[in-house]
Amino acid sequence: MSVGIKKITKTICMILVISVLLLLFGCDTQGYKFSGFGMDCVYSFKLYSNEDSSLKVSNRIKKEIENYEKLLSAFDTSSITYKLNARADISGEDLGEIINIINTCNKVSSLCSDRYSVVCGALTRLWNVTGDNPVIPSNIDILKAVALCKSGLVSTENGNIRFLKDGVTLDFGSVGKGYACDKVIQILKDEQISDAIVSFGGSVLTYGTKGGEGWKIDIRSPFDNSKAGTFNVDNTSFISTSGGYERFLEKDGNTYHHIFDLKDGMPSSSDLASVTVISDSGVLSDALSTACFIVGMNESVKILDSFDNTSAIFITKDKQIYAYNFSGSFETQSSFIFKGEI
Amino acid sequence: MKTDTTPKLIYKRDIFGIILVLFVVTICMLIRMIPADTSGKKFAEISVDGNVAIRMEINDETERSEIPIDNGYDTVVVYENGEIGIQSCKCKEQICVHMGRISNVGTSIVCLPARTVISIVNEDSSNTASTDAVTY
Repeated sequence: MSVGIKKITKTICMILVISVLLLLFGCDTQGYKFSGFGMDCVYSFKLYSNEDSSLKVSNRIKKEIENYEKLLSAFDTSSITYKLNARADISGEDLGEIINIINTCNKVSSLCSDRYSVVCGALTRLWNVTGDNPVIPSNIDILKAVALCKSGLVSTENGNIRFLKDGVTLDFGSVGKGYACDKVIQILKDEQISDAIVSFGGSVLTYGTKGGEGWKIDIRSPFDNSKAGTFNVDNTSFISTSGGYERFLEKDGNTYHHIFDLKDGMPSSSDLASVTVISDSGVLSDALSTACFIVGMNESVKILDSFDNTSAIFITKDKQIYAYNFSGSFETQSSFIFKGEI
Repeated sequence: MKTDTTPKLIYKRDIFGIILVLFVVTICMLIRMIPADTSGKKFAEISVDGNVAIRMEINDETERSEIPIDNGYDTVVVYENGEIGIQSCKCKEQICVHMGRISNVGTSIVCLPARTVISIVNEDSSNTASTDAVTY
């Protein structure tokens, strides 16, 4: 009799163990994923919501991304930015969004003596690093272009955009992905999605708390395809990284990357290999990470001090990692050294 | 009297045992039948000393290729028809070579002497397994 009871107990235990295993295999709260191409990069989304509403939201987002390009693309001839740069007729267009972006970026520009600005189309067009046949421009051409890259040469007064000089153009390449994140968050709120993780290229939006768990974000190593470290973000944040390793041209053994110091019109050459900025606006994170990458670590602190709720992680060219106003945990890969707060 | 002492062919506890074995076997088969996450792409990760040396997408269209691995054992990984395996390896036991080809997410081939592992992973479960996104 006692043998029988033992057997039964054993069987029940087995069934319990197996049920738990099955539960682990079966209840996979992976979220709803989708991805695509837009804003000149690969974007990907993961929505933590039921499938029906996720599908609806994903369709809405995909459609909206085309609209963002219609606003900011420097190459799409029907985009407002293209029309502005070509001095084409923009009567009847809503310029509010673009003016907001320009004003946010100008705030950053004023803190770094205009070494970063979205009023830089003359220079980026001249270098055309990502073009089909990029060549290194002559010094004279670079200096001429630099003279046209000053934030003050575009006026946004009275809801109008006026260029104060011929040849001055806008390039939103540095903030397009962050802007897309800013717009997506409105849709996520609208559709009452509780948690989501969004990435446009390397710009990331964490939305919600992932059910209280928080998000884990890798920073890619600026030196190869591995990762430099992993950090935690508890709630909604915009994360943007700038570095010279992603887009560049090579000529005669030299590499020329795509982030220019408007002081001299050359690819920036600070002590930094990459900068990651975490803030509560996508455009601001994008603009700050670019500006900080240009001016270097010490100057960056002066810029970042002017903004609330902003943190940064710096990776220097000698593989040291510094944090600014960073409260989360940071896990460093072995080939890097984490030096703590600046 | 005699008939009473004759051992029964099957005892109750034996039935329990048989049912238990059958049950476990069935469950194991069921678990194996649960399809691995087929959404997204599949990748083969070849790691030496725990570091991912090569990460390649695998699908049925990819052409046959032989990949030499720099691990001191002249290991050659072969990939064809959506399956990946170790073709040759200068290890003593040759266990890794005899493990054949793999293609399902979650499976792996290990060569202990050469400290080399091939594993099939989903798009997300790369070296960023536990992270949500990558910023760059």
